[in-house]
Amino acid sequence: MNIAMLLQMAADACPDRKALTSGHLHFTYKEVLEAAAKAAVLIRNSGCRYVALLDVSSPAAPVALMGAAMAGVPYVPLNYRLTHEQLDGLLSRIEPALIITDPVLPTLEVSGGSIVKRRPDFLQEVEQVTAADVSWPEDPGLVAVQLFTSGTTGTPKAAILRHEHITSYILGSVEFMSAAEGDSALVTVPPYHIAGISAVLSGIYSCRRIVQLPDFGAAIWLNLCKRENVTNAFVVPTMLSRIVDHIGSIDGKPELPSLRAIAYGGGRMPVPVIERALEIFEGVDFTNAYGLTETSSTIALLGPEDHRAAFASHDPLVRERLGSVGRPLPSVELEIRNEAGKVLGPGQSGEIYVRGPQVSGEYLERNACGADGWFPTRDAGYLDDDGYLFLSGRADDVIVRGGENISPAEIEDVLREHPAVADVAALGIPSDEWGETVGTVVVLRPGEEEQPAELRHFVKARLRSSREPESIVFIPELPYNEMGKLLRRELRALFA
Amino acid sequence: MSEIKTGMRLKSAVSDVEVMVVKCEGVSSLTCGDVPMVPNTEAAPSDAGDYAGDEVCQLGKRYISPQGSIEVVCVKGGKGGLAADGEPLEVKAPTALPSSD
Repeated sequence: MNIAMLLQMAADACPDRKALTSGHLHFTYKEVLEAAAKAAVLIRNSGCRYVALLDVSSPAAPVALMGAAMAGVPYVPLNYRLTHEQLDGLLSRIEPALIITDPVLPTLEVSGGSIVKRRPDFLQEVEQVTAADVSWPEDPGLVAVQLFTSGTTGTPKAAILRHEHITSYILGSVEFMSAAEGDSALVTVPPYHIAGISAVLSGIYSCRRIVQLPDFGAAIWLNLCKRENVTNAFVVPTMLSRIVDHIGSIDGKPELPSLRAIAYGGGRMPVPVIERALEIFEGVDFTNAYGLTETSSTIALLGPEDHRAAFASHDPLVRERLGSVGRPLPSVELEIRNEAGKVLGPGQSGEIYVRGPQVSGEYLERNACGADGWFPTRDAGYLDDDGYLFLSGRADDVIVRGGENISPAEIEDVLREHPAVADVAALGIPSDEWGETVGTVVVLRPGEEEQPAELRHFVKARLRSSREPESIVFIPELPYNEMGKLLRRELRALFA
Repeated sequence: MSEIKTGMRLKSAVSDVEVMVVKCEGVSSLTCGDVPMVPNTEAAPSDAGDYAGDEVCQLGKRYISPQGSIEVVCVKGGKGGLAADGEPLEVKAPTALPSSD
């Protein structure tokens, strides 16, 4: 199935329902379908083999995504925060491309037959196309989306998602037209992130209006929730943390009577943040979604009932689930394996492998899936006795000290409880004696003093002595990318 | 018609109904209103007439055979019930997953 079919179905079922709100602009499903069909004409006529989007969330995103699908070429959303040099490198890998850009960005120099159109010009040209058939190539093996991985290490890889992967994900996780008239989802993730793409597609297939917020800020997020009567929202952990902090700084709780559900994902959620959010947004359904670009988004969910049960429980094993990413989707198989490839049982930590129709695991350069279809995620974690998945970081980030595997997260979680610590990261640093030892980078709360011995003791008193940090470096702020992903590579340099 | 495969888009010969085959194992015929469906790229037989019964196939609903050998999603609603190798398909219960995007 081509992803454009999802839009066609929504436009057939509720043509005049609002599909998208961006600032003061509104589009119905019929209008989005028409615009996409017209965009496909422009794309076909341009002769370009890719459609790239270098833009914040705007109406151009769904139009370009669906227009590319109808024209049968890959849609390649790019990170507008990349440097000129990084961007040039990526653009040279997708020639010739029709590139839609944010009008505030400086002029792009392109080669290889690529064409640049500023967003308002692109949308105006789309509008001016007079005749456009709603049609698309049926081959489910065509590439729908090509995403360059965030490149926290090395050269970005080009992950590819075929129409069959994305439609399998949507059909497997979203019920068609399940949203009521008037429901709306506030989308704050950028278009170049897999969650930004799946938000558009889930919104379309459930017929839930998408409200776009291009520049996240806690106050504007709360205002928009209220003004647009938002019912559902998706945030990354750093956004929820800022929302919770903002609410803490104002008097009283925000009045958001329409808000029913908040989903979060894209990074590790600190337990204290979700606990505070559950207190503040009493009655709101929280869902933690864990997924990767290579898996067409969500593969495991911690649902609203799990959140409530864990939050209310005094049983430490149940309570702990607030820090879990829940259980795999019914359509996804998930296993934990050790380095030798052996499948591990509950409580044993290893690498997470997944398999299912939504799992691509494919890069332009190579296919990472084994012959049996299992994709090694490079994420480390374990399952508890009831099948709840706990993440312990990237497999490459696991600290191996004298043959013992140590998850950075367990040390970070302990140190985050210390009153002087605002933020913390743990990582393996080379050691002649142990292979690796534990290094920690700590951000202190304002007014706190550097007390490395006290922090070391704090960890040792709560965890095994192998977890005690060998060295502690204090810095004013940890380096995160815009999705809240910690750039550990930069931290390693502190110990060099 | 030729063998039914996952990923095929089929249309009714007697109404507007169209389905996508989501899963298929060993089913040789899919009918709508008791008349074999055809790939949407092919012309429907002109002598099939219009479906006159009360059954419908609803847009966005998933239909599954009792043994689970075939599952389709209705991408264009219309008249006529679906059957695989003569066995009527049933509406599959919605997936009860919380919205995650």
